[in-house]
Amino acid sequence: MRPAPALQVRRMRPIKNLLYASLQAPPSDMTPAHQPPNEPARLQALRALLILDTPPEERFDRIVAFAASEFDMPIALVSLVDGHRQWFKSRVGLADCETPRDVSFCAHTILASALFIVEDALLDSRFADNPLVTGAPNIRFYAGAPLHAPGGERVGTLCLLDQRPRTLDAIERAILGTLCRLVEEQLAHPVAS
Amino acid sequence: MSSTETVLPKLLVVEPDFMLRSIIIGVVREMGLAQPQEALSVERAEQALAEGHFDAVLIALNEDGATVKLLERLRGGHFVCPAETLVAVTAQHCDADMALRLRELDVRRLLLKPFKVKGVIETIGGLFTAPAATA
Repeated sequence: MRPAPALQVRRMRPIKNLLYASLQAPPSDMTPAHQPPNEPARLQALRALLILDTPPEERFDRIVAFAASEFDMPIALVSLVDGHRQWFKSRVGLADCETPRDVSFCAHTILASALFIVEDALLDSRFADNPLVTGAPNIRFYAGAPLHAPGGERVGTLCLLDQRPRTLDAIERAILGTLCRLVEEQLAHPVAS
Repeated sequence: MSSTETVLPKLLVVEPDFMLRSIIIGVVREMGLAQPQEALSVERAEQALAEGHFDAVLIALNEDGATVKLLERLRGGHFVCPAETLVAVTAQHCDADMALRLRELDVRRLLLKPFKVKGVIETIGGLFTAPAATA
C-alpha cells in the first residue's frame, strides 16, 4: 500500500469542497489502470482535438443529457483521459470538471475497444476501495464506451454512473455504443453540425 | 453476400429529430434487426415509399395530418411499397379519435413521447416477430 499523500483542499463552495476532498483522497489497495502501449500517440491525438479545457458545448451536452435520461442514470459524462487527469467535456450529475487519472474508471475503459462495465464496484477488487466508490459520488455502477479520435486512438469515454448496482442488457449496450459514435462524430468535427 | 446469410427486413424510419433518428438507425443496424433507411420528413418518406419496398415503417405522427394522409396512401396501394407494410407510429399526443383512425389504418404499435429508445427498439423487433398487435 502506498503512503497516503496529504489531502488537498481548495477554496470552493462547501458542497463542492466535500466532493473535491473526496476526489483527491488517496488511493489505497485499488488498482489504477496501466497506461495504454500507445500512450504518447494517444495523448498527442487527444490534444490535437483542441478540446481540453474548452467551455461546455450544446452538441455534447445534448447527447450526455439524452444518455442520462435514456438510462435513468444520475451521472453521465463525456470524459477525456489526459496525462494525469480525466477532464469532463460534458457532465450531468457531477459538479467537478475533472478527477485524477489514477482513480479513474475511464482510464480502464480506454485500454480496450469494447464497453467496460462494472456492475457493482464494491464487489470488484479493482474498485472496491476507490475513493470515488467509498466516498462521494459513491459509484457502484459504471459503464463506459471508449471514444476514438479520428486516427483510432482511444482518447476518452462516454460513461454512465449510478450509486446502485446495475446491469445493461443487449439493447442498452447497443444504445450506449451508438451514443458513443455520435460523440465521436462531434469530436471529429470541431465546428458544430 | 453468401447464400446462407440472413436477409434482414427493410425498415423506413421517419423521424424529424436528428439525434433520435440517428440513435434508432444506429441501434437497429448494430443489433442486426433490420436494414434501416432514414427520412427526416413525411415528404422524404413519400419519396422513399414510392421508390422502394419496405417491410416496416416507423413514422412520427405529424401534427398537420400529413402522416395520416401518407398512411392512407400507403394502405391505398399508391406506392411501390406494399399496402400491407407493417407500420408503427410515434406521437407527442394522441386522442381517442386519432387512436381509432390509426387502428383503421392497421397501425400495429403506437408509442407516445416521451419514450425510451429501448422501447422503440423493442417495438421494432416485435414488428418482425409478432403477427398481430394493437394500436
